[in-house]
Amino acid sequence: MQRRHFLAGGLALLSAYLAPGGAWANSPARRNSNAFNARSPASVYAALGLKPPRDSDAIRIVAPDVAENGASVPVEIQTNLPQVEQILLIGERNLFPLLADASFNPRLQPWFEARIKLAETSKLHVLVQANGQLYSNSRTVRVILGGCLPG
Amino acid sequence: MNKFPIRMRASLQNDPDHTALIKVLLSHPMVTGLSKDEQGRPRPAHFITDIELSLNGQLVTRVQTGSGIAADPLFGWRLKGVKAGDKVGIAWLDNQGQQQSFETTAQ
Repeated sequence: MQRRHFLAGGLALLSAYLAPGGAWANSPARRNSNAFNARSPASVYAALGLKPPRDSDAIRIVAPDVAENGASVPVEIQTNLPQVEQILLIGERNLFPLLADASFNPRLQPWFEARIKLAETSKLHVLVQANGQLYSNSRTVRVILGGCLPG
Repeated sequence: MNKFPIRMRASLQNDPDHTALIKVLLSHPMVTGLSKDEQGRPRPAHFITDIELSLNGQLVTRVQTGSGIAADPLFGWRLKGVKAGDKVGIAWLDNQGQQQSFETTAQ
């Protein structure tokens, strides 16, 4: 009986790996949980071990000036900085400010689009690691209805 | 019935870099863990943590996400060196171990 349970468990695990909808072939990249659980932009920077970034107008942030609903704010990032390696999105006044950590390489144009949550009116910081240097730019988004309400 | 359908398009831009504009719409509640349900019980965190983009089965890039990504997440990339008929794939994994993937043909 116990052996049967063991086998069934093993089969379930196996089928989870082989499930047609879930071809997660590689083990996911190691997650810096401290950065994603950090409660302030400063602790995000600290958790990621980031040096203070240099302000750069070469990072263009397209986002609405006023977002009716902070639960879904469209954001587009574009830069002409060469050799982009990483783009980080940070919502300054969110309880968990680190929103996304996107890896880049020369196969991708230095462009990224996402929809984010913003808890309240605040700056959206975009950090770009390019050619070993860290650059940042920010943009204020006015939020009418906060994005961290129940739902 | 798939609880988490994925929609994805890879549109060739006919430029010298052979760029495909990739737009992905995932289905996911992206619950922060900070909110409460109608009965006032806390809703446990449930959000996508990892996303992988692939071309013809080869990993191109990954994004790590927190709960601050909007529900039913939308992502866009511009991938170079894509030909008509190439397979563009997306896969996600969430903090509860659920996962989903999808593939489309560039055109």
